[in-house]
Amino acid sequence: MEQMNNERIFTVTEVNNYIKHLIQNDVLLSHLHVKGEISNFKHHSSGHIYFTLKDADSRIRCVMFKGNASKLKFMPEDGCAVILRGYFSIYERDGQYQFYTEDMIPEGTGSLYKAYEQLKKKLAAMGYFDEARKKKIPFMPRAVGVVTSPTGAAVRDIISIIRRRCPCIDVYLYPVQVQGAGAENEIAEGIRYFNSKGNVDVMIIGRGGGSIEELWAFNEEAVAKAVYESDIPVISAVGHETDYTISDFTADLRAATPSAAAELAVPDMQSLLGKLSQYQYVLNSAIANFIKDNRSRVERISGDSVFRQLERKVLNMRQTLDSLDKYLDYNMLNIMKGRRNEIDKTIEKLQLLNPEAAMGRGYGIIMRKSDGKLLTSVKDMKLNEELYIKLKDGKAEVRVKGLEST
Amino acid sequence: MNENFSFEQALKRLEEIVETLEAGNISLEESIKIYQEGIALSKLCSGKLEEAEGKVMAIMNRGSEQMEEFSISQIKEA
Repeated sequence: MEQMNNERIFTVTEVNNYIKHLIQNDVLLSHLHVKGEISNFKHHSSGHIYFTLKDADSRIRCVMFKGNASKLKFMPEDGCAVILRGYFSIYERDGQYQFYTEDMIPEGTGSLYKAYEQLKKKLAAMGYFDEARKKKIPFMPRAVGVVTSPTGAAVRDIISIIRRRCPCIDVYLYPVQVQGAGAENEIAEGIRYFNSKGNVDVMIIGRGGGSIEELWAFNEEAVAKAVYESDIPVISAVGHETDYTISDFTADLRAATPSAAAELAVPDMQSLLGKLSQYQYVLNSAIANFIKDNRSRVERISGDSVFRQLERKVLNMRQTLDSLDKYLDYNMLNIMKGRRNEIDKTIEKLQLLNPEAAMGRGYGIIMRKSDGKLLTSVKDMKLNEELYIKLKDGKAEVRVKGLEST
Repeated sequence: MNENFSFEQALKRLEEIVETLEAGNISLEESIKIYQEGIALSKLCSGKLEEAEGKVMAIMNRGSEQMEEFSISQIKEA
């Protein structure tokens, strides 16, 4: 290193390196956000982006390298108001300080994010997202209301999936604009429309994927309010899996995509029919086994000696039953067979109560001769009336000679 | 669909019946009764699923709230 008047003389490179060192070690300049408007935008074939960030009075040279530039979710252009994140450094070759951009968002989006966070906080405090107030999605709605754009993939997916899964369910489409000025009010009106009509049991609101600005209507309070106030359960399906809107949080159920919403809204008919026919099969085989078991039980009892004694009476009853059979279908006949056991037991009990059995023990039956009526009280008898006394081996004819109540 | 008919309740009842009947510890009379109820429910349910072709309607005129048939083929790409 040369000296001039005892002072050190630096090379250009040394100076630039020194300044670079200072800048890079500065707490502020090594990590900061800068907002401004893009001009002289150049997307180089290398993939790097070069532009100037300016405001009314000043400008900064900026670069964004390929690695970061390829992650951008939008294509910046001249005139874009943006917020940059990055650091300052020196480009030694030109002795030019510049801003090394790591990330870039449109400035409008920045305020959208802010609005989103603020509204989310406010509505959460108002109880809009409370799990406790979320309504259950009906298992089998009569009809599904759809509030979405009448064009594009979302509406087509929703309708075709509902039609495929459960063709018996009606679908009512309330076509709305899902983006642009006033879209949020149209969506809210659609939700209120179905509530006022009461013609659907569940609603799907949503749209296909898009930028945050395009999804924005679903982050508006008007939509959230209509969803919150809806008596009909609402499924919200906005954008892709990774997009979470205020409408999603407020809805009774969030679906990752419009297709998923359709699947959550209606059951699959084919699998239900399969289930039903399986149930019918189980019912039929269960009842067949049941009847079989009972029949063999009746047959077992038929073999008992007690039963034999009563068999004649049973046969008589069965004859009567048989004559009725022509009016009974096969199922009823099986019921009768099953009930035979019960009937037989009843007959057995009746047998024990048979008064004729008592006659052997000295009891008799008194009947009026004129009409054969069984008499149990002297009050039923008149003086000189003719009666029968029936005993176990015959009857005697008698006349009332005196009446005396005890 | 019939407004008074709850498909979900019918299906739940049918599942109960299938379970009860499979368990088998009820009287014959009762089992015949619930068997018949079960078959009726199952026919009612599958009937509901197959009975009618649902409609797809769109509210084309906000003012009159008039509905029109809407078909997927009408959908334009966004």
